[in-house]
Amino acid sequence: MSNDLIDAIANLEEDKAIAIVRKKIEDGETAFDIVEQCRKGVEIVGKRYSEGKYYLSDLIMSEAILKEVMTIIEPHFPKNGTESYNGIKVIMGTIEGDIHDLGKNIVTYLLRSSGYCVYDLGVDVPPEKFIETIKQTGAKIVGVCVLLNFCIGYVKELVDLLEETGLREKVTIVVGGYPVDEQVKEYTGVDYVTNDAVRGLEIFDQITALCGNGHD
Amino acid sequence: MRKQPEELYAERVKRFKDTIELKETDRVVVAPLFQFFPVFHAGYTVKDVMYDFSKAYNAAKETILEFDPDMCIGPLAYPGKALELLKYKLLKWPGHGVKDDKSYQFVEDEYMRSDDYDHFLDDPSDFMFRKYLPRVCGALEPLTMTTSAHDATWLGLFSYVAMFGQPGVINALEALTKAGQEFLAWYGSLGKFNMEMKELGYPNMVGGFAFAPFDVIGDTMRGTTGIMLDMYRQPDKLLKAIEKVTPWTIETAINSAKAAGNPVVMFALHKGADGFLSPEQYETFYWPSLKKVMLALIDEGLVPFIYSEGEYTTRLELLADVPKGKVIYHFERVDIYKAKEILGGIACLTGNVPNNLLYTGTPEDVKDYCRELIDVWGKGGGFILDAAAVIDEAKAENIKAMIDFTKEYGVYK
Ligand code: B12
Repeated sequence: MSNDLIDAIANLEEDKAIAIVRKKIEDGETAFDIVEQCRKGVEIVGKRYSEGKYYLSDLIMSEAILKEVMTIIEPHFPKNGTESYNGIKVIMGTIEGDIHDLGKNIVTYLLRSSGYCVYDLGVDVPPEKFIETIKQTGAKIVGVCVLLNFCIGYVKELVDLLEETGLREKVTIVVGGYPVDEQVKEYTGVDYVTNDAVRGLEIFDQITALCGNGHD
Repeated sequence: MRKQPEELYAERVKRFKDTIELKETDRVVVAPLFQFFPVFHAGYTVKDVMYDFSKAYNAAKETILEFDPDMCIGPLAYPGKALELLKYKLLKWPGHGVKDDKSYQFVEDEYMRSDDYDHFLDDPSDFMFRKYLPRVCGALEPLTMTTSAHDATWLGLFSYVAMFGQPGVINALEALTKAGQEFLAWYGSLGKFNMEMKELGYPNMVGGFAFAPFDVIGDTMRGTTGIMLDMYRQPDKLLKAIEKVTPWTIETAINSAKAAGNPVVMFALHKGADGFLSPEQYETFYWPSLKKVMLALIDEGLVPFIYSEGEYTTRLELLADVPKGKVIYHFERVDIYKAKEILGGIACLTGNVPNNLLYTGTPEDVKDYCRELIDVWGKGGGFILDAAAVIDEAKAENIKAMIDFTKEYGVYK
């Protein structure tokens, strides 16, 4: 696997990144591998940002490139009926009050490219909306993104609401985002926390292996 | 004997003017920019004052009389009725998306789309009337059904005018005239406030309001994400748009200051803060047009009051490139030592007292903070003491401490 796509994304070269992706698809690289390279590129962007070499404008541009790339490879994600499609339903969303979605989007793309069936509810999602979607889709895994400390309370509300509606036993909640740690897990009562997308994917695979539920 | 209001007014104006001109004065000016503090202090909610100008008016006046700062600021509550009539989308306000006692929330969106630049550059007023207004005001949506006025010659005039007879457009125009009356009444009350405060001896800190050209496009037209992507994807069009709005910004600033009879024009800076743009982006897209506006105002004898929001330490060197004693720089967060080192002797400094401290701290904490700030920024003059951002929630005793302490400790010996 060459680094050309990773570098193009890390250096915010939109046209180049898109050309490379088109070529890779032609050459038969899997959607998952391409998303993985994108994630690595975006991670370098994040690293440069935290080192003060990149600015908010650069982060936003990297997200835009990522979105462009995803519209190109979306049709190549594992589809129903193919071997790599596992059809496991996952609900993803950024919690109420919070509109940060870069991290959530990356995780969503990774999941889709690994064959998951993701219902992306977007940002600023009220706990009730998660509940409603769980009922509608029968999904048994929920991924929640939270970056603002003062929105962590809403994640707890979601857990409480699941208890109230008798759904808590049936769903597994994974929370990701910048401020999450063991303390957040304890406070909110969710099942897993991580601020690493790759670790997040491992968790999803693990849950699936354990329960094998939420299938079509 | 107590001084008469006229005498106090003249004294305060002179102290303020000398401070801007970096001349030696008797003491540091203290001028807190209140937003909703007076409202909460008077026991009202934001909703109360947005729907009753007299409450906003009285609250603002009472706070000035009670705490006796050097300068006043008009009631900064927008007229709720007018916003309602327009179905204004840029803000959430009490009764419209936020709780009664909370300040507005800004609703960012791409009200101007990435492919609207050509229309905007080619015929800005047409773009504003038939695309922008319908998008930011729900009640003006039907204006999309009108045609461009450049067709309104000879028989074209007949068909142009005919569009205004459509029921939807009639409603939109009615909303416009009604909202217009509300805004006029609101401006009237602001004007009256200035006159009465002058009679009571308090000059208003701010005459006019305007925005940096980059923010004009970034805040309410393209949005943060939109304008940032434009810097990469269509930099030439963005620069042309900035160039286009620059003379309008100058005109608005001059007109608003003249209407108020007060030379100070406040610019709230948003998208150029540290961390948002790289230094190259700031120097390409943000600073040149802002500087142009500032120099034009200075030429007219006006005073740019540059109110930066967020952190601004990395921009200080550029800010220093203005004529001496003509500009006020307000900082929310900045390295205060660097700011004095780089801008001292060039421009008047203000801001920086953390609003958090005013809300959660004690009067002693506030005094300690002000002492250090007066020692650093007050040295040699050119300093106005104020909070880091406009003041909403704060303890009354802390506001009192901030003002009284400055008058006592900020004396130049
Ligand atoms: C970009 C950004 C913004 C952009 C967001 C654009 C967008 N579309 O997302 C804008 C400018 C809009 C913004 C606004 C604000 N922001 Co902001 N923002 C950031 C910034 C700089 C980067 C965040 C980011 O995208 N990181 C990159 C992504 C890829 O990382 P990530 O989200 O952590 O995701 C990774 C993992 O956590 C994990 N993950 C994420 N979600 C999930 C979910 C699951 C299920 C799993 C398994 C894993 C997972 O996988 C991802 C990849 O590894 C951070 C600073 C920082 N260092 O994080 C501040 C930051 C998050 N923002 C902050 C603040 C305070 C705000 C504002 C309140 C500022 C203001 N005063 O207006 C507003 C809030 C708006 C709102 N209501 O949400 C604070 C939050 C502090 C706190 N913890 O409470 C931060 C930390 C900055 C700071 N140090 O103060 N912001």
